[in-house]
Amino acid sequence: MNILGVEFETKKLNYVLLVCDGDEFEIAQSNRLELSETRSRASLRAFQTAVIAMLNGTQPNVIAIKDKPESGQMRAGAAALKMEGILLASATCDVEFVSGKRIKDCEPGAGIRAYQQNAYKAAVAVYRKQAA
Amino acid sequence: MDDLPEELRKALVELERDHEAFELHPGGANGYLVFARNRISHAAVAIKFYYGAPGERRHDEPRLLASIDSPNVLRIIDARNLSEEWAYFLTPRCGDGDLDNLIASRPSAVEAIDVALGITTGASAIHAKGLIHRDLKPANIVCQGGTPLIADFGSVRQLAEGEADLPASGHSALYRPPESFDTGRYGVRGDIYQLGLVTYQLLGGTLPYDPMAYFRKSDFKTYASLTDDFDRSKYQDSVIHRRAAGGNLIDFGTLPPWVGGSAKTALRRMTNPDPERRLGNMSDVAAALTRVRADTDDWKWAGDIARLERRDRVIELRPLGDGLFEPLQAKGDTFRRVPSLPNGSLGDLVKRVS
Repeated sequence: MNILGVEFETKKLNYVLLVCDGDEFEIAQSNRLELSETRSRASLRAFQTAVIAMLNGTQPNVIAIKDKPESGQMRAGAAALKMEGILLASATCDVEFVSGKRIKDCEPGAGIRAYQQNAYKAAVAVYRKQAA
Repeated sequence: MDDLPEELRKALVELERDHEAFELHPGGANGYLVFARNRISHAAVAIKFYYGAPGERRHDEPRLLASIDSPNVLRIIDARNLSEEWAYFLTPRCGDGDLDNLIASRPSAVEAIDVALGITTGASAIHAKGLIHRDLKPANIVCQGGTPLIADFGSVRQLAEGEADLPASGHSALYRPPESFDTGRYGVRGDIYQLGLVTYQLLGGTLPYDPMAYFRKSDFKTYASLTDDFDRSKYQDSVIHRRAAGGNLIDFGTLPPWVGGSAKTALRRMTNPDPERRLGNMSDVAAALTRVRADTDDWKWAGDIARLERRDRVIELRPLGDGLFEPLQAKGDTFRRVPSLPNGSLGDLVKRVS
């Protein structure tokens, strides 16, 4: 099973692909997509094109997104919400939002960059839930 | 049309029932390409007649095209068998022509990146099916309303289960990845190499189609000593291979000055002669191109004037001769000098304006 962990951070979509086989999993891919502008149609379409390429290239069975509230002090920014909308509209598999608490409960991954840790942990949290 | 084989002429008579305005395209490879218009819908279509000995792989091209569902891969409308040897398939005709037309029109920097992203998405859909294109080049990518569509599937092959590569295609020496000359093998990274070359061209880099443009002085001498056309063609390919293997097939100096460091880094990582040091999949290519897009101002050539449109601001760098340019800014219907910016070289002014 392929689990794609995702975190939106300012204008960036960080992703980590876990390939899970029974009790084991490994990091197969990790990278980040960047949205150049939030209020340009061409920019949003280009981002959507890149998201489709990323989904084709990672073939996830589940997408695990680090949840960010839509309101309140810790709410997601406009760019994050737009990127999230594009990802949700482009996905052809199940999507699960992972709370900050579940993210915190996961150990950091070895061999991946600091900015990709939350995407990794979101994927691990969904893997654990599915494996349980 | 009179020169077409008899089966094809008969097929065209049949097609006349629903189609009109037939037009033979001179560039059809591995068969014939005819454009027409549907009498009922008025949709412009392309009819590709192809030839092949009977066998399992005869209809590979339409079957593979039909198997890919992507906004960046040309879709099939219909396919018909004509005889033991001839068949055809119909696709929409793409009014903007192929990518060579777009490259010749000198797209803006951001438009170039967006087109490269579209091709990346099409190629990612092909790879997702375990297929390798092996012949990604401008002539095999058509454009419709600014959207690139990968069109020619004549070289597409399926990877065997558990295999990472397959025999290389003999097409287009200029776009052949260096490893395929050495090993005769070709994998996903070969398509990435080709996409890198196409992206370089889209961004304004020069990639001459005349093989002799890559010759050194000594190459001309050796070439002149060869009398057989086959040997000459092989020699031209070997020169291109030498340049590609040395990583100097492309010349970053031909890129316009607004193509910055992040774009050059991405191009280097896509076209690295060593496939192990090249980007490994289309997701990574898409990621690299989004970063380039975020880092690139939307400059374009308008004749010999460099023009930047950024939100409500339009800046033009107009040539004065002797390599000097004058920076002007749109004010209503006219252009005025950009205050505090002296005339300078294109590279210098682009850097200061950006």
